[in-house]
Amino acid sequence: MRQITIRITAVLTVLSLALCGLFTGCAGRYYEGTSFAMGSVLTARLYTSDEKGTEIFGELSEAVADTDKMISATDSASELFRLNDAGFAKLSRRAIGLLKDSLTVCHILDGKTDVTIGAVSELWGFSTDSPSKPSEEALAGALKTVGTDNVSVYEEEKLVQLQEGTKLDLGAFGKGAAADSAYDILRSYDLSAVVTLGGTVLLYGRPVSGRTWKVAVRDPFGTENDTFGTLSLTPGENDDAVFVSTSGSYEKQFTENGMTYHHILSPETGMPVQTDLVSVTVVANAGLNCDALSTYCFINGFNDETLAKLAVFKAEALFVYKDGACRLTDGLKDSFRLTDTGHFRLADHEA
Amino acid sequence: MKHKPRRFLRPADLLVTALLLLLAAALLLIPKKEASGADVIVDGETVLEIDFTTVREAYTVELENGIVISVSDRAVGFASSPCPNGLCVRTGMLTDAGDTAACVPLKTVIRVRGRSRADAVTG
Repeated sequence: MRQITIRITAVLTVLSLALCGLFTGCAGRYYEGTSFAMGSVLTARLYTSDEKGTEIFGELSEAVADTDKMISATDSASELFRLNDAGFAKLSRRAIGLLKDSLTVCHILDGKTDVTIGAVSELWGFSTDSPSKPSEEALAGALKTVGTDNVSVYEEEKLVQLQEGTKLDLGAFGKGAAADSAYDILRSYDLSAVVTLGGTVLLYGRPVSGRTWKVAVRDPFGTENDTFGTLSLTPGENDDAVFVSTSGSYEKQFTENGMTYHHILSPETGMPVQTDLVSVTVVANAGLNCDALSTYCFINGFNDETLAKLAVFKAEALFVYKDGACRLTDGLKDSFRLTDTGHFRLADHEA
Repeated sequence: MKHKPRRFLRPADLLVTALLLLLAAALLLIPKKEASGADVIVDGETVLEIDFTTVREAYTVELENGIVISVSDRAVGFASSPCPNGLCVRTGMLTDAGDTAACVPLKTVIRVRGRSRADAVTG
């Protein structure tokens, strides 16, 4: 009789452990923090104790706020604002590094996404409460100031000089740069984490809820909580993080005289880019590149040139069109699942 | 005293194991719990905890910052906000676990408790 009891106890123990594992182990214990930065919500799910999580979230919020203090185009105390205002400024080492990295990306992308578009974006006023279409003359004048040749960086002296009228706008790089700064914090801890800043996502470490991280993609035609598909992602072979960024014309727009204008401006025309695309989601191994590429892909569209640029950065992309068609680069074809097949469909993948 | 030779598993063990496996299967088949409530967070601090199970009639709550939160049986959302653009109100009512709505100018977030199926949302 005793042996039976022992055996039953053993069986029960094993099964309860398995069940516990199934229901609690999969979910994992985490701390979740929420704050505001860069005009967006910053959230972090940190798979660690509450105590440790609170501490790390504090560091993450600070890192993102620091990035904002460097590159905000609207905060008169930011380094970038000072530079734009005076045309010449001494910047912090980090701001110089960030600017140099951004300029390098602009060069690789042939200026189709350009940090020197500041004078043009200021005319449109998308970061204000009352954006409006600028006059053609004003736009033509502002376009003359666009071009990375108009920026001189003196790295040793930490000085930056802008040609007359040229202004910097790191809007297409900012959230990605902030995600990079969050990554730098997480690297010193042994944990898994999901950090989101607006639509930019940083997945750090080993996926917790399964074999892959699951990132839902927002429905460009729905509200903020509507999604139409899911990307299953894991860090690359030599990486410990994955970054995801989305650029969509639905993010900021206004209507004037019956015309709707969105905020993704072409550095060539100074106008909102005309395209059949409604959003592009990019997956990459660095935040700044990821963010810049999502804007670039939206501006340049799905073609061989875009695919080549994505390959330079080892990045992948999902292109979503106004008619609900979705195109994926090769590396994402097995990672994407449509959840709303009523309005969306997978298109053929020929360029 | 002589021990009888015993098989490793006897009918009683098999019965217990089978019962436990059935229980496990039943647990897995039970649909995921619906969202039980939501939190309203202002500047990182939870200022309002809503328990959907105790809501009998729809009601609204005005926060100190002037935002009005609307609560009904299984949904919560921004009813009105003194912020300039009103984007938060346009998000509509939240019903699913993990859904969030934010009023960025007034640093206010509504989050439905529970885990959404995805780890994150991009867009």
